[in-house]
Amino acid sequence: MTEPQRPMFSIITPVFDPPVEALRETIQSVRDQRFENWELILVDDCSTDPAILPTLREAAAADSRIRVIARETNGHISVASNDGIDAARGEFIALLDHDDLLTPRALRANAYAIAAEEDVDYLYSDEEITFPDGEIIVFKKPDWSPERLRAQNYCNHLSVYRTTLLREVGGFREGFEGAQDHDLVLRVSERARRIVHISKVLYRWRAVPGSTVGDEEAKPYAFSAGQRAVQEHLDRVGIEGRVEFHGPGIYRIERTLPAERRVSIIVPTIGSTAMVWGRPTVMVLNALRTALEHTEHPNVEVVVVADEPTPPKVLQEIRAIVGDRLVLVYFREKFNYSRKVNFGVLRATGDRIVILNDDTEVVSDRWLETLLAPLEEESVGMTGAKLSYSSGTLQHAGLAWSRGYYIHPFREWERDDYGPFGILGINREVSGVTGACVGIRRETFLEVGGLSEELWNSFNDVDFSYKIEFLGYRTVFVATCELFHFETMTRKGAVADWEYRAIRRRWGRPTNDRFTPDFPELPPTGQERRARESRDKRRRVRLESAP
Amino acid sequence: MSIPEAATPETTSSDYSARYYLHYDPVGGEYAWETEHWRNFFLGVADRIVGALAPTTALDVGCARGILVQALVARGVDARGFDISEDAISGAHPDVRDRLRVGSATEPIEGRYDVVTCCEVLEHMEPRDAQKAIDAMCAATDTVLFSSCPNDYEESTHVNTNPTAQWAAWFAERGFFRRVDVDSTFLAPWAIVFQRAELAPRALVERYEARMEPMRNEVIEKRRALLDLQRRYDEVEGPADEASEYDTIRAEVEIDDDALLARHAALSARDHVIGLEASQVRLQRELEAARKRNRDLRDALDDKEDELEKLHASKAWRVGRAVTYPTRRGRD
Repeated sequence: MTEPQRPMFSIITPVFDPPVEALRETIQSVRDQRFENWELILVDDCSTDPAILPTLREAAAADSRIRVIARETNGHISVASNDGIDAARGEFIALLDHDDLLTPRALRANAYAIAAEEDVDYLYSDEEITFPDGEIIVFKKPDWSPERLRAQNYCNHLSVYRTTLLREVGGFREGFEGAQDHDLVLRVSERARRIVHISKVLYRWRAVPGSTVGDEEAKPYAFSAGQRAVQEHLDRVGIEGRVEFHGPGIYRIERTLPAERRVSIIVPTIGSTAMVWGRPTVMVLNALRTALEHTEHPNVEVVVVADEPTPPKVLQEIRAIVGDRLVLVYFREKFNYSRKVNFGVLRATGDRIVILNDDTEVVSDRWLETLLAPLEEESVGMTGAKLSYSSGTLQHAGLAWSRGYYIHPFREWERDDYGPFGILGINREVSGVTGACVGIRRETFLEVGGLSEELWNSFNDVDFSYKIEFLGYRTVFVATCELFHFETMTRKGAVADWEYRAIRRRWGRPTNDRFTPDFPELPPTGQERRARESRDKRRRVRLESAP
Repeated sequence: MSIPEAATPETTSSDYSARYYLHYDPVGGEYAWETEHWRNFFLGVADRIVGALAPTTALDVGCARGILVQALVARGVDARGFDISEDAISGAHPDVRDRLRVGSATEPIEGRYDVVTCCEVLEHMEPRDAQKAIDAMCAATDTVLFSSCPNDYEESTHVNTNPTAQWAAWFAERGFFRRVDVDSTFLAPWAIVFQRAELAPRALVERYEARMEPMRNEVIEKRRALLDLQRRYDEVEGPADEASEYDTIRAEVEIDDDALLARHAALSARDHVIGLEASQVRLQRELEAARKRNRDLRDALDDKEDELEKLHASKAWRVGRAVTYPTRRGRD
């Protein structure tokens, strides 16, 4: 196959006092590119180390595609980068830090992706992070996740922008130093026609002391700048909310649910009793009581869909707890979870729907507001909550479809664990959410045809999530909406074969999850499994043949 | 030919023992002359009968304990009565006892009377017997004060409950028509005074129409008044709280109304369509992948064939073949 030599890339590297050896390696990683149509613009931001400028000039002399801009004053990273942007001649601009490395295929992979999607304006890819102690971590990134980008700059390196768009938004902004990349990506994403994620490691980030990732205390000014960058982004796109600092480079957004939204909480139940923390508890009463206690939203209706065997005494208590906000739907057919929910929603009058299992207990204050507010954004189709077992370990933090399985990643992790790259503490796009606690607009629920009644027991939530994505909506995991879910921790393999077949008939066999590509519980690939099997076999043979 | 079994069961004298009258009216107390409630009620009825019809003689058919007979006597009417229940007759007040007898309403009535009263009796009789009773009454008088509750189905001995219009029609068959000039509701809302009359259709229509018109006007006037009242009430109370009213109305629901089931059918249909579309997209994708694999394999095959051809065309190959030819031949 012939390699495309279009488009031309301008690689911009602002330089300020890096170790000279590292700088040489950085430049060399560009010269090693398999793809040849590039220029490297080295902007020296008045380095104090006298060895720097000669090193740059030497590189330029060795390769005509390398240019040097020597600033006469130190302008800091944003200004220096902007000088590079002004000078760029390429159709796309790639940003490379003065001590990091591109992998040899970096530009070629971008060129292929651009050839495949002509209207792409911004591309980002996976990266490898090397810590000072030599530890190497690969950050496999999710596909385009605007909600997650508000919580952290997960795009980071390698970022490739269409030059015209980068100039249109005015490049980097002064006053956001430390979070200048985050601010830029947010502003570009608001205007980009298409954003592409290349799921390949194209960048090696060498975390040296003093850079943001390696030393969290090194750049304290970055956090307020980042908070401001996200807040301004919210204001620009019209999201009502407040940005709060959650951790280094990680933010949480407290959004507002308009008071006039009418909320219907749908609770299917059979009125059963179970042991919760050693006490016999009527599940549905516990769920309803805590759900209503933990919200201040004025306009709430509760639709309880009760199976026939629900004890009359339980119904009485439901009436007492919910009062005149109750709509009680009697379900007198054979058990079908999906059907119960569908009829509940069809009976509901709210424009926002929460589907809540009766074996839950709400933990977070303002849970209803937190869960539903993201749905004010048209493109968000569904939200899900963070659920924990009674033991305090995680039950649900978003679902993933990986290697033929439908998985709860991070199951049984500690409830308050940050997770890799902060993934458990932030709102983010996911492939799906569990049906135990779901927020959705009523119109979206109707648009996707509700829960599939053929999947009457398991996987109706998986199918529902697929449908939401199929119609072009995002599903958002809301980390700040926490509940207990008293599902038995041992309930494994409860899904029947026919349920797997039904899901795959519609949606095919899943390969790599788009939003949670990497997590510890990831099942082995077919290749890994075969390798392990043959290794086990060899081991067995050795054992058997041993004297 | 035997008489076919009656469509409804027959009641007999023993169905009306003292026990029957014990629970006759729990509000009024025991059904007897001594009970003030019943005595006053029937004295009032007697006053109205005397006032409207001025009879000299009267017969109460199905008189039970003869309270109405006694009340009519007290108002100067020569009244008699009979009843099928011996218990009832023997339980009558001594003052009226000798004016009463045990007898069946199906039997012809001896003598003639200015008025025959028959209150809440015929609904207890099997339909053919009831017809005989009407015959007997109509033969003995020109005026019948009649009542039979049109909608009390709960009482066990009401085996022949009929709408008032039905009773009126049966009397009309015998030449008896409603006296529209007499308001008989003093006895019961459904009570009627029937009188023998030679009536041309025109007169009959006129008689009913004359009553109908004011009634219709009254209904219209009352509807208007009710509406005015409702509007004034709304003004005082303010508008109804729509949301809460809505909630109360639909607070507890069954999955049964057609509109809901129709919306549910639409929802399921949408799910099926999306499922089919998704399957189609999946199959398309798999087909695409299979085609690509096919193309790649064919390319690989072509490459191998080219390689093979080149090999065959090479000098080394031809020389090698020539050298090995004899030995191969020998092997064949």
